[in-house]
Amino acid sequence: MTQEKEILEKIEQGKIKILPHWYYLLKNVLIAVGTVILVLFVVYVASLVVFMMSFGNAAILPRFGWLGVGTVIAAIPWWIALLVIGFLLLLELVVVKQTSFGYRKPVVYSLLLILLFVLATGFAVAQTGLHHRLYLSTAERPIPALGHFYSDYGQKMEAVFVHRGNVVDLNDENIIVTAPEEEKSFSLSDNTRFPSGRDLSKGDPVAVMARERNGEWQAWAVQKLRRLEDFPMPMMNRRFKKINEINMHPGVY
Amino acid sequence: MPENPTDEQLAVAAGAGNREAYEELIRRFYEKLMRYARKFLARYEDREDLLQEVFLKVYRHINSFDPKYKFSSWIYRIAHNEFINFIKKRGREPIEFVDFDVFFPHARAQTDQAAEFDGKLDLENLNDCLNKLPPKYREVLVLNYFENLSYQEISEILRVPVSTVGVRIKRGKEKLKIICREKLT
Repeated sequence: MTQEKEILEKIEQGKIKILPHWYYLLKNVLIAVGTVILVLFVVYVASLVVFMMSFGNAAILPRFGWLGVGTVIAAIPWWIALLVIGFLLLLELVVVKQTSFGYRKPVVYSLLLILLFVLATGFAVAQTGLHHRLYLSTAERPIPALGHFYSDYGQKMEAVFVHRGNVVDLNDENIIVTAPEEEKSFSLSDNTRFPSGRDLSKGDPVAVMARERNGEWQAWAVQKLRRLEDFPMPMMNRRFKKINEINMHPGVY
Repeated sequence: MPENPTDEQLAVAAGAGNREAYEELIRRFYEKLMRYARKFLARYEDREDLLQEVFLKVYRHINSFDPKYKFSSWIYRIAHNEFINFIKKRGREPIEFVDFDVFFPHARAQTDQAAEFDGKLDLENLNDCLNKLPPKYREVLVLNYFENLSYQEISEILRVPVSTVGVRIKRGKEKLKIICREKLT
C-alpha cells in the first residue's frame, strides 16, 4: 500500500480527527488574554522601577555621580531586574511566534519597540501616584505577594540621608551645612567624594549625601550646586514639591 | 468546488470535511515534500513514516490554516518543524537553541535566483556534500535550489527575515564549496 493510501486509510478509520474551529478560537483568546496580563505585569514592574529611581532620595542620589547611581541600583532587588528581562523576552517570543509580522524583521527591532513601549507606559503609570499610594498603604499592612517590599525599599533609601544647604564652615575633618530647618555637621574622610570638586567656600550651596554611624553623620559625597533651587535637578523641583506635599520624607528637605 | 481549485480552496474544503479535497492536496504535495525530506534528511531513515506524520498533522490542524496566505508555505512549515524535531530527537546533528542570524539586520539579499555550481560535481557528490552541512544551511539551500522557492517563500516557511534567508544561503554556499573542494582533492 502506498504511503498516500495509508494516510487516507487512517483518516477513514477515524484515527485522526480534524480539530474544530472553536479550538483555535479558544486558543487565540487564551493567548490574547495571557499576553494582556503579561503586558500589564511588565508595565507594572517597569513603572515600579521608574518609581524606585525617582522615589525620595533615589532621585537625588544620581547627582552624586556613580556612587549615587550605584547606591540606587544596589537597593533595587535583583529579582526585579531578572523579572523585567524575563518578561521582555517572553513578550518578544509572543510577538515573533504568534503574529504574522513579528518574524519578518530582525529580532532587535521588535525588542527595541517593546522596550520603548514598556518604558513609556511604565513612566506614564509611575506618574499616576499608584506606587506612592501602595507605599503608603504598606506602612499599615503588607500588600499580598509583595509583602513589605515597598516599605523595605523605602527604608533602604531613607537610610541614605541627603541634606542640602549652604556651607557654614569647612575644614579637613568636617563640613557644616545649614538649611532653613536645621544646621548639620558631617564628618569627612578620605573616602568622601566631591563630584564637583573640593573647591568649596563658605556660603556655597551644597548637597551632602551621608549616613549616620554611631551618632555621627558621615559624608559619602558633597556636591556643589549652582543654586539651592537647582537641587536635585531644575526639572525635578516640581516633582519634589509633590512628594513633600504627601509628606513622605519629613526632614529631608 | 471550482474545476481547478487552488490549494487554498482545497484546504478550506478539507477543513469542512471534504475528504476528496484532502486527497487532492496529498496528491499535489506528497512528492514535493518527499523530495524535500530526501534532500534534507538524506542521512536518516524512516523518512516515509515521518512524512506520513506530517500529512496526518496537516489534516488534524487544517482548520488553523488561514486561506489569506499560501497553503504551500503553511504545509512546508509544518514539514520543516517535524523534520527539525526529528533531527533533534535523533541527536546526530546540533540544532541551535538561539539563532543569532535573526537578531540583527543584514544587507539585503542580492538575488532570488539559484546560483550555478561548478560543473565538476555530479549530483551524487553534491548530495553527499550537502549532507555534511549543518541543518540551518542545508534546509535553505534545499528549499531554494531543489524546491525552487523564493527567498520570500522560504522566509514564510522558516519564519525568519528575508535578509536572514539570504545570509544563510550565502554562508551555506560558501561552506558547501569548501566541503566539495575537499571532496574533489
